[in-house]
Amino acid sequence: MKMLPFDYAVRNLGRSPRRFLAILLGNALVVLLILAAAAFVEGMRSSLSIRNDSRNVILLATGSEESIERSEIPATTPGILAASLPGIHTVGGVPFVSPEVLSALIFFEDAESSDELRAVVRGITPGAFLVHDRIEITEGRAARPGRNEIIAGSLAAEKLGLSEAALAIGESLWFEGEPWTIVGRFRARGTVMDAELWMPLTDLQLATKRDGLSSVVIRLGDAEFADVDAFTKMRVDLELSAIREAEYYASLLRFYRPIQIMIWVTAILIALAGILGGLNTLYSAFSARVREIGMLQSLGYPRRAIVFSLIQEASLASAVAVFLAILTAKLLLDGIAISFSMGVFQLTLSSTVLASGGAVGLFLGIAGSLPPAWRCLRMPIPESLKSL
Amino acid sequence: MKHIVSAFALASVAALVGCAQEETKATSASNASPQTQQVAAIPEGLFLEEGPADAVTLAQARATAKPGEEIAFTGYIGGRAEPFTEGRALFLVADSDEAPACTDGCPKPWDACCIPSETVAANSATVQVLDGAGQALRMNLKGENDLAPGSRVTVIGKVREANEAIFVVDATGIRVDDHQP
Repeated sequence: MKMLPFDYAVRNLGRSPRRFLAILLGNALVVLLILAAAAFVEGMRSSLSIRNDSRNVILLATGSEESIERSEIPATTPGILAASLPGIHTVGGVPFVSPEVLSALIFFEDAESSDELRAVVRGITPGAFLVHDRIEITEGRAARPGRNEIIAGSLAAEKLGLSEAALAIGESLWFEGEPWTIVGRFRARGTVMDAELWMPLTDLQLATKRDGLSSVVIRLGDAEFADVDAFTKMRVDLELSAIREAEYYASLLRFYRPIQIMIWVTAILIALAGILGGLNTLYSAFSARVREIGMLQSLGYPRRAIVFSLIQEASLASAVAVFLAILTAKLLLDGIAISFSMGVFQLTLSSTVLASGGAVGLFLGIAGSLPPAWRCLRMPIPESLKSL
Repeated sequence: MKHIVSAFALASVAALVGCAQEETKATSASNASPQTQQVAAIPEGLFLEEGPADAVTLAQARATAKPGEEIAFTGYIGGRAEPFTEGRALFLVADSDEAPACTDGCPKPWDACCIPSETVAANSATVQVLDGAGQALRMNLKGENDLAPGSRVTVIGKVREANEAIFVVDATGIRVDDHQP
């Protein structure tokens, strides 16, 4: 089959710069929307995901399996667990057991401020740094008990609605009329903990007048999950439920699924409008070239070769649009923090997100060029040559 | 123009392929099985056709039984939303009178969610079926011989632990009396 040269499709893109720009911007906008929606869903998913191979198990109160914040278990639980459950992971004789309290508290920026800052605060012991292996202290040090000290996650400022400078080491936040000094910053990349404030467990218990714990997180060694579950059913008096950490966060993700669906539906609807706009532009672009297409046919180029060249042309425009959209998304969207009830997550341009943007761009190029190309080619050649 | 457009396209493809490889590595690591399940056989004669005539309620049994005693009691499988332990021959039984199942619109009536949790705990028993080494068998009992959450059962066995807080019975015989709590 006699094919049109690739140069022909490339040169055609520059023939009408205004039209090329319209196609480019229209396609880029559609791809950008898809990227934004996918990055939102991906960001939320990754912040509520724990690796499936995680051997962490959360023990919380029976009936509070869906919310650690509502859970209240006896303070003696970690000791009983460590003594009764063989097979907890240990290093140097230290068991990976982390008793925790999780509370939503209201802080103030200073003593006189009346602006409430809603924070998710986790009361911890050094065991937290053993079981939560994504945590790394990036600045300063861990908070010490009895000194009103806290450490802040890298997205905590976003959650509190403060500037990063307000959470710098040495700065204070006020709770119940007392200042709490920030002595460290930590990062817990890809988890909701990144937006939390952490303080020593005993300090949080005293500050909130609470005796019990919210949960105990353990890392399994030789023990299996069934052993932990059996323990909770043996010690019914403790009223504990065991849940795999990955499963707990997966259930939270399921809770937010309607929001994700809504985001996708909105993006697809807007993208559809963009696609229709793009089709319109291509219709007018190709219609203006009916005579040229008729001439190509009369020169002996088969219809398939012309369609292929038109697809090449539209796909090239789409490829540039995809590149522009990815560049814009990388500059403007990637890493943007979005606050939600569980904390904060960042828009994430993962490879899957980029691939979905690329796929949409490719679809726009191929599927978008076919209907207008068909319309031009179905016209008889003499009629095409006579058209203005 | 051709070169610029080609370069754009190639750069996009290279970026996508590079990222996709990283993702593949992460995914294959995350698919690792967290644990392996070992399967054992149900002891012969565990499931009974007829229950003993002298079976008492679970609450009565808890009030009097001492460790080492042979007992027979009735109750229903429940007290928790998931009364069975997956991978172990172990389940919870609650007393039908003192901690009854909640039937008013409860999605899982056997979890006794309308009864104070301390009352449920005080009127529950942990029933386990042991292997030769004295450990709970590594198997699922749920579904065996129609055992299901909410099933009313008669359990025969030896009391392993009995105090105010916990009541553990090593079962030697189980009869499913009814499929309703």
